[in-house]
Amino acid sequence: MMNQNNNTISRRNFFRKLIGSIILLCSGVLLWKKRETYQTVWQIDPNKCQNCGDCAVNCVMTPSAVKCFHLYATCGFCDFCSGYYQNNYIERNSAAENLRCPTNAIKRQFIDDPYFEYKIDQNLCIGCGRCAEACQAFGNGSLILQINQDICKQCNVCNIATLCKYDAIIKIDAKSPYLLPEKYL
Amino acid sequence: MIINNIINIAEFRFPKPDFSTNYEIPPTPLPSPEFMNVPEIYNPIILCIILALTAFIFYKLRSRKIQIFLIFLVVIVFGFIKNGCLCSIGSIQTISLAIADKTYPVTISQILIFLIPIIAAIFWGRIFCGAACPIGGIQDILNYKNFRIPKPLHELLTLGPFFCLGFAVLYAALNIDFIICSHDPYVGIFRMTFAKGAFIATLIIILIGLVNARPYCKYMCPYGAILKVFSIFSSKPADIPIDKDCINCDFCKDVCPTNAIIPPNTKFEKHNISINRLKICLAISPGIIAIGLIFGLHIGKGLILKNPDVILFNNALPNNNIQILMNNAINAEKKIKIATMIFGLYLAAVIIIKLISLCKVRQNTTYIIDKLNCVCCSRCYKLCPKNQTKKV
Repeated sequence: MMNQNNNTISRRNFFRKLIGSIILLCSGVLLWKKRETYQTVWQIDPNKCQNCGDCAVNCVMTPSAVKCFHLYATCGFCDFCSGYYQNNYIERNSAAENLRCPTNAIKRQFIDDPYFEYKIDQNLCIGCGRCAEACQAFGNGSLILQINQDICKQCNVCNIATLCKYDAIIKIDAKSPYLLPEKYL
Repeated sequence: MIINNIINIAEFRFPKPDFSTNYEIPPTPLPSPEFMNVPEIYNPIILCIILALTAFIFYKLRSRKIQIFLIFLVVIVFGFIKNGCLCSIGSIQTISLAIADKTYPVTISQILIFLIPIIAAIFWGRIFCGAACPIGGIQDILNYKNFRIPKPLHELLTLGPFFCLGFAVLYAALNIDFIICSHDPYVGIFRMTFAKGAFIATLIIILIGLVNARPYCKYMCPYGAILKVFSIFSSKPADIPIDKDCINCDFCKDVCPTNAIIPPNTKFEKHNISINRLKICLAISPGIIAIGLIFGLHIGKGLILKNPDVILFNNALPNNNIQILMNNAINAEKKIKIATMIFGLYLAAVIIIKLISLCKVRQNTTYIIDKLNCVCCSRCYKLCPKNQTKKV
């Protein structure tokens, strides 16, 4: 008798718990269904980005996860590249005082007279944005700063997003994780 | 939308060259995110499996040794490999921001990571804290001895989880900061990187953890507070065979990291509740509510100045759009005021409920386990001299 009583109580308890957990799950699904849901990544909106170089120091990763990306399809393959050389260069060679990049991350390669291919070494780039600034000011704007999704840790709260003066770092859909001018790709 | 706008920045000052050689323009290398390789829905499934394993080890095998293996596994996999970011504790903020902000995207796996340990707590108590939580696990490993702090101080500090929960939800819902993530003392160990000053805080809390078990779980963890509330519904806590075998050795009580084992109370008392204390509690409760409200409004004043809409209105020069900016700022101010008042009432309610729960007089003739505080670490199984023979 005693046993039976215990059993019924535990069964009733079990069903109560089951109903409670189903209600919780349903509210969770409701929360999910009520909005557009997608996995997000952080990315720089190139329209708002002013290449100020704060990303190079504010990112939790060292060196920063923000890297310069070269859009070859937009590039003019110039001999004098404003992203590659300083404004007041002494001579057009690969000496450090002539180059704009502080870490020598831009590699220059001869292709065809008078065209040169510029390639960015992602391991050396620190995301200071000097080349991107110069290229967008004097050139085709083929060098732009983007967050390298392979390096980015996808923090819940992005440090560079909170400190950015221009609100340029936004959350976008992880399926297309880069914001590039697609027309020229 | 955004991509159409971007085209403005790329101008063709220099035309595309015609190469005489066979040079082909290479595509821009775009490395895809690391986590896309593993579908996100696997995370809740892994969490389910770990919770089921913990429940099985804790309730059926009753073995500390096997559970230690599981704890090491969880600390290595969830902690060091996943960088502590399969985090039910942090998901509180995502969920509360998602409820407050209708446009914030959440995925089903984030919601499931938040809900699965709660559902497990309804059935089996706080088994999530026992082995599935990497932060609980690392505290369990980095513990040498458990010296007790005085009981009044302990009871006062156990309000901490509820306060942390309130602050975390308030800050996340107003989209100011995710304070659990930015102030977590253990995540620095998993990632091997420390923010400014965080290293000293981590070191201090680890040193405390060496002599007082699970300080973060007991006095800070906001998710522990949620699990505490939901484990009220769990049927039975850890069942130590107490009735006739018990020799009153007090080992289990001494080793318990969260003071969850209550020794028998032999003193006879008339009521389950001490009436005098209850009267005092009820008498001072209006005062506590008033203090809570004032505290909430005081916090609100600081938070209003951090709101981006208000900052924009304060810095704006008079122009045509000033009316729109003012309306936005006023709306934001109203929202923050209501939120902080609710927050103040919540803090007052937590304190009053705690005071009332202290009025309760336990009349147990045997050792009982307080299921709200038990974190299912199975230390008591290991030390119980009567349980030794039953162990597998």
